[in-house]
Amino acid sequence: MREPGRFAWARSEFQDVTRREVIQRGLVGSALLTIPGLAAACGASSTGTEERKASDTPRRGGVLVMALPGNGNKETLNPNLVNTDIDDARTFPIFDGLTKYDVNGKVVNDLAEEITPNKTATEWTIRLPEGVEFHNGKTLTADDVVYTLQYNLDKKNATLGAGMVADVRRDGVKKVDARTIRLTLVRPNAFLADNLADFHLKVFPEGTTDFSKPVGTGPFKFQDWTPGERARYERFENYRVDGRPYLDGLEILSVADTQARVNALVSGQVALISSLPLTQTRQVQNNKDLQLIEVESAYWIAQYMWTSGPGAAPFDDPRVRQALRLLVDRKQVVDNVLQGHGRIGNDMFAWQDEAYPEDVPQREFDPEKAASLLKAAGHEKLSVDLWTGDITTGSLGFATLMPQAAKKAGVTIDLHKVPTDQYFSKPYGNEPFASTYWGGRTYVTQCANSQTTNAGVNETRWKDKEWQRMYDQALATVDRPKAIELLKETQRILHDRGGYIIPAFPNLVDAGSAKVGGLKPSPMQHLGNYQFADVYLRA
Amino acid sequence: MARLILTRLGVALATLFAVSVVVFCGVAALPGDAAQGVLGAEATPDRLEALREKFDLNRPLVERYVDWLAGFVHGDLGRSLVADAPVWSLLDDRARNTAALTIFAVLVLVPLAVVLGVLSALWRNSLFDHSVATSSLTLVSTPEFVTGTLLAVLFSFGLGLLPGASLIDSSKPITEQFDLIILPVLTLVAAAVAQATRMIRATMIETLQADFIQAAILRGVPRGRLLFRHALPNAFGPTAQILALTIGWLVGGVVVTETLFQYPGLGSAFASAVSARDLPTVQAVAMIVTAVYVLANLAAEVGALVLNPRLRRRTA
Repeated sequence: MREPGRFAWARSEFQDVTRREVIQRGLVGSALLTIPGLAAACGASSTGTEERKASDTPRRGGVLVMALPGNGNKETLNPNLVNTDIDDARTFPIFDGLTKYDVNGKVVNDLAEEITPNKTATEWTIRLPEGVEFHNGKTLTADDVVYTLQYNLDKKNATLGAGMVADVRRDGVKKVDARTIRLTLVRPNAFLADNLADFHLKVFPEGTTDFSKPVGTGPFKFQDWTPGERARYERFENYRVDGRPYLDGLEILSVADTQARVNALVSGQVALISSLPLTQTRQVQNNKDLQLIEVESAYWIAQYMWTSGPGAAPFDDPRVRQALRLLVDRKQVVDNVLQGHGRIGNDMFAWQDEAYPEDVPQREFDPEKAASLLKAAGHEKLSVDLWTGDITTGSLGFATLMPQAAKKAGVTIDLHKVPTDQYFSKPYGNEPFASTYWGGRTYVTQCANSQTTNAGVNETRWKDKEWQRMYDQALATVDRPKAIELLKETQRILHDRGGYIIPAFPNLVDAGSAKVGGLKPSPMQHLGNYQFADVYLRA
Repeated sequence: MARLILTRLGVALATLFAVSVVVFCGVAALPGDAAQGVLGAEATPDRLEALREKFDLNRPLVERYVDWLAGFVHGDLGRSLVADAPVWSLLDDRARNTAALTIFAVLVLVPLAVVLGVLSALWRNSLFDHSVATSSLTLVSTPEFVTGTLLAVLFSFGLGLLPGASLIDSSKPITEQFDLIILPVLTLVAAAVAQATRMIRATMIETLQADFIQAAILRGVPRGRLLFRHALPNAFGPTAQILALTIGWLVGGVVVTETLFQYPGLGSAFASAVSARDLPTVQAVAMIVTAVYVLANLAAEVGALVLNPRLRRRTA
């Protein structure tokens, strides 16, 4: 599964939901319930469930039990290899990164006290705070950070975070003193701190090779686990934030079947579940013992099209890509496929990022314009194959709607559905027009994954010289506002001629017992980005 | 009789071997391999290559099978590819859980099926017989996921008596989590009881019409004695066989029930291992299930022989 592989970010304490987010969440109307504790804290309006009084103060104690989509033997606690939602949920409580995503998806410092580039963005200096302790009693020093980064740079470890530090020279990780690390880069990157927030880049003690009993600096200490079943955690008493976590412990259960998760919540066996089926949101809202935990997310579903290279025709013609993008009724995707639980997309990703150009007009369903573009491109009776599978919420529905809508412009789309467990080994990556999806990332992190010339998964075979030049220039610009302007320009290019059709950002829809407080929904990952330090259980 | 058992054991081993080949080839023929299963969409070519090297997937299929077989005959189930741990260490708790589920289901099923079957045969074509037939046939034609969901709706959400999901904690004895096993057991029993009841009824009717029973009736043997002394022992052989078949079916057929209640057993382990293309785990579960199935049948046959002197003599 890919879902997980892509979204998770780091922790966010003390950050309240911004005004903007409250408004955005208001947009989803009655379908959206804020968490009672959160509502009280930030003044967001809560509909449906009974609103808790502002006097609701965090209570210490209790074990929070939750059920997440399971993956059997594939589940891992190795932060370098986490690849699913449940792996994220199980490693985030244990580990911290150098930087992290706050509750709005913005990059902030995590373990790093300071992290700054030099004037040319070719060298970064990381400063660590004093007195941070690992679960095994060892104090965090520069040696641990150097070891962690070198571990990720070593190809033989095949870590999934390697791509995020690809700009760091193999021999460019140096300890300056006990609390300072210097990184030398192969090319300028003023956004390295963004990349370091990748959920794979967790800091572990120097010398770690075995992750079966993981040790980190996070709020919860690992106790024991059985893959495919449950993992147990206890409060880390020496956690670096005083008075946290509130909970005595966590239990994270692996429950592969969607209905079994709902059953476990309804019958009170667990207090939180992720990925609630959209058809059951109403039931949860009508049950006063439960709360719906929904937030607009940075996840996106898409069809990718090859923009260059052998086999890319006819998609290598920007007019064909534009035409296909015009043949999507995005409102229909959100209203019918996502049953209203989503945000309309405009063929650009990372809407939560400051580099998102808000002023680009929304692309509408326009078969006539599509037909005239295709005529100009000499593809009047265009006929293409689209490969898809039920790979994440909304994927199959979105793909299924395409052929019908395309007919209005005389375009034939042959839909090929592939079983989920075969999708990523066969059509995906081998066919020029197919379904994909990604989790929440910042714009630059997403580009490092899928757009740049050395991206790990360049699904759209994107090799646009103008885009790359402007992007490189942005990454070499230490003046942040200037760099952001340049990045916005690169987003505009992607909106104009990129290889993705992005119709929607599906909401993250989870559910929990009304007893759970302090969970702050995040656009980056389910269940408040799995940040449980501030979460508490009401009596 | 010893020769017969030896022959049957030989057949059992051949069955195991055949199943191992079929399952091995079947999983190998599925698109994608364990490296892809683990990486999903994170599968870049160099990551795939690194993992295939680590999982030893680049060697010819036959070589890998022979290696597996050599390990298996020495009692070594191998290492799970995706979990990087010995297969047995991943399956022991699950085998225990499935065994518990099956045993409890059998403990409920056998008396129930025997009583219903015998009574239906005795009172054949009565209202009782017809209601048993109708309700058990309705149950058998209802898929487990429907029966299970209805049971969960009734007992868990409606009455609030039982948990809706069987989130077993393998680190604790199963007897301490008895409430978690009741709904899956009922679901399995509902699915299996009809067939067992019908077959026991048929066997019983056949026995009751046999000459020696008719003779006993003419001799004026009382009804109770007729049933317990004459009819039941003679019907036991076929009945044991029916029950053995049902037990074999239960072990193999728990997949749906386990998945529905998220019961951590062999069935759900098998399903997840297939989707991850984790061949050693798939093979191990297939071998365990086949072995139980074959042994249950063997036991039934031997049981029938022991109880029926005529059969024993004929094949001795």
